[in-house]
Amino acid sequence: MKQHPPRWATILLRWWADPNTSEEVEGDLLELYTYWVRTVGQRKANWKYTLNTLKLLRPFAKDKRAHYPKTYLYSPTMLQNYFKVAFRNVLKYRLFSFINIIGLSLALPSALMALIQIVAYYEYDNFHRESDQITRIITDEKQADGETTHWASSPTLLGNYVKEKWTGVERTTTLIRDSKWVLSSGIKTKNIRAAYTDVSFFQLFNFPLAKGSYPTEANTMVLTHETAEWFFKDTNPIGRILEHPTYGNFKIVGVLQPYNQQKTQFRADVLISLAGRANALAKTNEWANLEAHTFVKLSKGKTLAAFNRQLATTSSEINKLLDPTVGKQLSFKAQPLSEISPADEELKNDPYVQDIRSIYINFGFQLIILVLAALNYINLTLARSMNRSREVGVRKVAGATKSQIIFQFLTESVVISYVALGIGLFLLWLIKQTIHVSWLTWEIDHWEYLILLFVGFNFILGIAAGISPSLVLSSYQPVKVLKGAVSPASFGKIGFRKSMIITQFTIALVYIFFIGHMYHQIEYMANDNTNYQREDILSIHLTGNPNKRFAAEVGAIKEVQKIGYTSLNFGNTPPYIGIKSTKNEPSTPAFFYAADHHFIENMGLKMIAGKNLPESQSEVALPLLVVNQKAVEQLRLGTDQEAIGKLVVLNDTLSATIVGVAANFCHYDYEHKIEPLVFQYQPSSFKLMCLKTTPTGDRAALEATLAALWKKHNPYVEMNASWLDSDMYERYYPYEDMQFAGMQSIVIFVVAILGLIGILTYSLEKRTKEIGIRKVLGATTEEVLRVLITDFIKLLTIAAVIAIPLGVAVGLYMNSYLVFHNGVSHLTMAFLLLFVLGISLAIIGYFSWKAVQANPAKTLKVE
Amino acid sequence: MKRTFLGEFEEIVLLTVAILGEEAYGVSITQELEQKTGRSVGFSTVHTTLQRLEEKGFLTSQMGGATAERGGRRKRFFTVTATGRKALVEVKQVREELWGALPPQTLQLMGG
Repeated sequence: MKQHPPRWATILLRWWADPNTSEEVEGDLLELYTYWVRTVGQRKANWKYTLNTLKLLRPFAKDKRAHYPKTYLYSPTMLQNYFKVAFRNVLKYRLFSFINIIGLSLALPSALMALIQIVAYYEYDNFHRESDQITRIITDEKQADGETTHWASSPTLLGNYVKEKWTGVERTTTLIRDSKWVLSSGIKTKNIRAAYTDVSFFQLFNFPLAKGSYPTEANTMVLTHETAEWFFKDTNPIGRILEHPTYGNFKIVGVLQPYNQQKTQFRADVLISLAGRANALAKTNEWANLEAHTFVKLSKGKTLAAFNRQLATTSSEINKLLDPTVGKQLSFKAQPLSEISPADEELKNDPYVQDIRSIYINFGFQLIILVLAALNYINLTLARSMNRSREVGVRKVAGATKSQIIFQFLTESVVISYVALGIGLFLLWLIKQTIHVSWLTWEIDHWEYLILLFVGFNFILGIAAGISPSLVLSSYQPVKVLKGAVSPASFGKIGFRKSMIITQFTIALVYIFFIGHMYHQIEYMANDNTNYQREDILSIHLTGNPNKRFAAEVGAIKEVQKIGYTSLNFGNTPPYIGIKSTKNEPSTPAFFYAADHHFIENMGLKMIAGKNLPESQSEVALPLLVVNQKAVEQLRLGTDQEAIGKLVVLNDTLSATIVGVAANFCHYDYEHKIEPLVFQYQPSSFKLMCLKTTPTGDRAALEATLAALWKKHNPYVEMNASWLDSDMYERYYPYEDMQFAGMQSIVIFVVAILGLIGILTYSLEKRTKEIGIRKVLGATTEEVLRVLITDFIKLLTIAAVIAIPLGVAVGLYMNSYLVFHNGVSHLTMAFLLLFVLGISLAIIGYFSWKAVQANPAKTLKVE
Repeated sequence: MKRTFLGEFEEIVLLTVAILGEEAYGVSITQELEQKTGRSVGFSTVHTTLQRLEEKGFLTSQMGGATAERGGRRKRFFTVTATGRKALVEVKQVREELWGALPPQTLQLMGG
């Protein structure tokens, strides 16, 4: 015999085939193999041989040879048996399995989503060309007192310096971020995350254009797809202008193709040419100012170490250029692009990059629900330990070792956790299909890691839930158990289970209060009419100065009550001007609105003193002002009454008289502190016509009427109008995030309820005989019911007593971030509390009622 | 556990064992089957079927003498038991009864 069959197949056969027939099978196959080699050739013979061996493998086949069975933990027969018993137990105790599986699978999706998020952090910026050659220069800043700050950013000038000075640097780019921008198209104003950068940025990083070109000249910019859509809908934005209240006009030269902002650290709404910025905002000591992010693309073959040596030299040169009075030393280091996220240590000025520690703290929060569900599992399994104790006893008598019993219970919990994972994945899919979760990206490149993570994570979950019941149950003494002298196990007896119920309900209640409070506040911000009147206000964007003939015709429409003019709608960040009361003092910044009498009336502002701006149709500005109380306070004009008639200097040039003082109100951000505010009649700045309409059911019809009028007067420009109330509602009502948070609170509640049901059924089952005896002795149904329910009512009361102050505290804490808030809603809280307690009581009542209904003749028959 | 029902493939294997008489072992049965039925039969399938038939009591087996062939491994020879023979006869009878019950014109239509 020259040809050998595949050796590995033979070995497999020897290991895993039925040992009873191994000799003749091996022989037969060998004979067949030589026959096959002769008839069909070696290649096919190998193939046939392998196929036949594989079919003969019986990994779980019983070893029929006569000898004592192996008792290894991992012997195939035992493994098979663990699973068999596990499945049988799942099927036997349907209610408990259902509670465990549903609880875990409801709790899983949010933990899985947190895992997806973690994977996404590891996949930041992996879509750029030759990204392994790109590094960022980070800075260690050493103060004179020896303290070192780690910055993710570096001096603005560093990029060009490095490029000119060193070889092996292919390209550098500088990025300066400013996330607190506001841009306005006149009609729409938006908070904008801006970034200044140069053209190299787009050569280094892969952000392709949809149309137009990249910005090179001063005051030009590209918009992201979403921003362009928000401002201009379907119209072409190229060549249009957006205005910044301080920095002036920026021309749009391009629009980027849509990209997933969640997958990059370069999250911005607009990218502006760096060219103009150098002149506009030049700082004196530029080398000391670490506001830029410098990215370098190294030539192929240049090592990071070599570049780091060059940077060390650069550091010492730059330190000589630094102003010695600043008293700090900089040292630059290269950080490869792939190592930026997640950050090993937190760096200053490193937006959208999470460091590993905070990622895992966040993950911990997401785990809370899961921990509750796992506690349910532990609690229930321990509570039912009586049922299983006989099984443990018999198995031990039959020779089972402790480790085998432990393995049995662990198998059960792991099996349950994987069934739950299946359902959890399905729920995750449902969430993906139906709910948009703003903080999460579903676009993961490495699904294989994710699946591995899910499976591994779930395994840990199964072990974590199963370990304590398995340890308790496996240490039963067979003698005691079989004699019937063992009581149900739990940690610290019944007290543990009770405190578990209390904990679960407290957490559920606090979370529900938290969501309720959030809803309460958001509802307020979305529908607020107390700060200013939003309802039925329609704003039309003017193309030039107010057109009196158009206004007259609009005024004739019966739904239009009043026509006001303003420079900007409330809800946007208005520009600042400087105000002061006397010529010689420095100016205080104040928000400025150009407005007229009717606008202030339309907005329903409350005048504390004086009166509104006078009605005027004139085209010249009037030196008359309405200010808010804060302005009076800041300018130290005395009381609100005394301020009337006093002179104020605007922007060092114009003197104007205060005619009215309005109550402080929130005109844009609810978080923002109250600042001085000035209204002046200044028709040249009017940009919006603000119509107060009667409440109308058919807004579209009114808009159509107005559009027809508009067309008559402005045939070449389309009317741009929007309703203030629906705009504000859209801005403040994060519908989908609320949906997700609401869903999470329901999940926590359901998990708590499931835990309650589990304990309830168990304790009622244990008390069946007691109920029977009580009834036989003449207790009425109500009396027995009262006995049963009182215990649980106590638990729920304790939970409520703990949760209410916590809920109020959470609400107060959240309100402390807001200047204008709606207080803590006791009504909402009371309603939610009643809801939770009501459902819990109904469930307790129902199960107790059913237990009481049992016929004592039957339940006591065995005694 | 023991089914006395005889499957189609089991029946063929059992018959082949009977045909081969003293020389019935894994390889010869497989090859005989392939030649007679003209279909490709996997050795593993035959082996499993033989095991099953033995479990059901239709076959007995004994190891043959040691030879120098096939790496010194012995062959397991199968013989049909009395129960096996009875089962075969029963199957044959059932078939014949069924054929007998076939109306003659249908037989003609089938070309028989």
